Amino acid sequence: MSIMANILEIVTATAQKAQGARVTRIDLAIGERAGVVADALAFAFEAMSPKSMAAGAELVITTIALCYRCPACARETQENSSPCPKCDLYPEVVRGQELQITSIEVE
Amino acid sequence: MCDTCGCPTDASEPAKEISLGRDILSLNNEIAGEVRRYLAAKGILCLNIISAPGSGKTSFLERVGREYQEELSMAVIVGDQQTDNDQQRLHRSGLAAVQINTGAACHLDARMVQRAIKGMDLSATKVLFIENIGNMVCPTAYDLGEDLRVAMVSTPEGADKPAKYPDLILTADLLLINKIDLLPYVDFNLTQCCSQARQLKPGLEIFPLSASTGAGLAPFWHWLRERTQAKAAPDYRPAAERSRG
Repeated sequence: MSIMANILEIVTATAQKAQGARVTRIDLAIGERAGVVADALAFAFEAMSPKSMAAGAELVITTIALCYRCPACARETQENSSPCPKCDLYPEVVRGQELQITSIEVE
Repeated sequence: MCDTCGCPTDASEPAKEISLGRDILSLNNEIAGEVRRYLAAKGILCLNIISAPGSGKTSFLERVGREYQEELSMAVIVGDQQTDNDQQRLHRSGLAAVQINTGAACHLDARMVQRAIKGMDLSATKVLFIENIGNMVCPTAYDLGEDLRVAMVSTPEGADKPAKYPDLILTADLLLINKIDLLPYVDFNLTQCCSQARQLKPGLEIFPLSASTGAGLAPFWHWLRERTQAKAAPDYRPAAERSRG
């Protein structure tokens, strides 16, 4: 719920600055390892948006898969349970922790 | 749209797309940055402790207060949904403590911490602990302006706790494994717990200890004291803001 409150705060401020009357679409990019469940966000949006400028807006959530990269050779993998076969270093997270509003549509 | 009053002048005005690329928690992160700069200017080291309810965060801080408050002046901001029980416990162990009651919220955010700090006398303080709400998920998303994020698990919770809650371990700087005095009585494999945590976060600092007996506390304290001195040094530069992805 507090994540959605943050989203609506940013969306409202952005729409007001653009002199929009209402928000018709919100695009979010949520990483697999962002600690946020898309379904829970959608539910919070249903509960909280009707009283905001985003009433009736479409919520589009794009999930970003977890991706690790070897800090030495930049080899990318989907898991970090084993070290890089070439460099013997454990890979670091490079994608999958995003919690972003990519764009909004206002009218 | 009419420039004077904002009324729609053209009903068929096309919708416009605004590109943001903005972090949802950017408002929180801006305030966390203010907290971080404020504490850096005072040379105060700040630790954010996150664990499940009942892992022993308050008992750990009581023990630290009793053993070391005379050596280094410490203060605590403690978050709970309700009651000031923890604040009272911490006071009794000699620590300056401020209680935040979050009501419905399951985590502390930077704004709550900033508000609490404004009401505190930190002139002599060297270390500020933030005891987060007992929850291993939501608090991990909120930067509070801390220098170090501390994850705590306790032996009765099971050795696979780090593997089950990777978000916490991935964002933590150190892991405290509490209640090691119970090792003879509970099914807990210390080696397994450490290796699972380091698999997620290679190089993670780990201190097994017991808040109730004080075992294992000295190595942790030695480590913390070094960081406190580094932070108080005039050439200290504040850590980069925590970024998520």
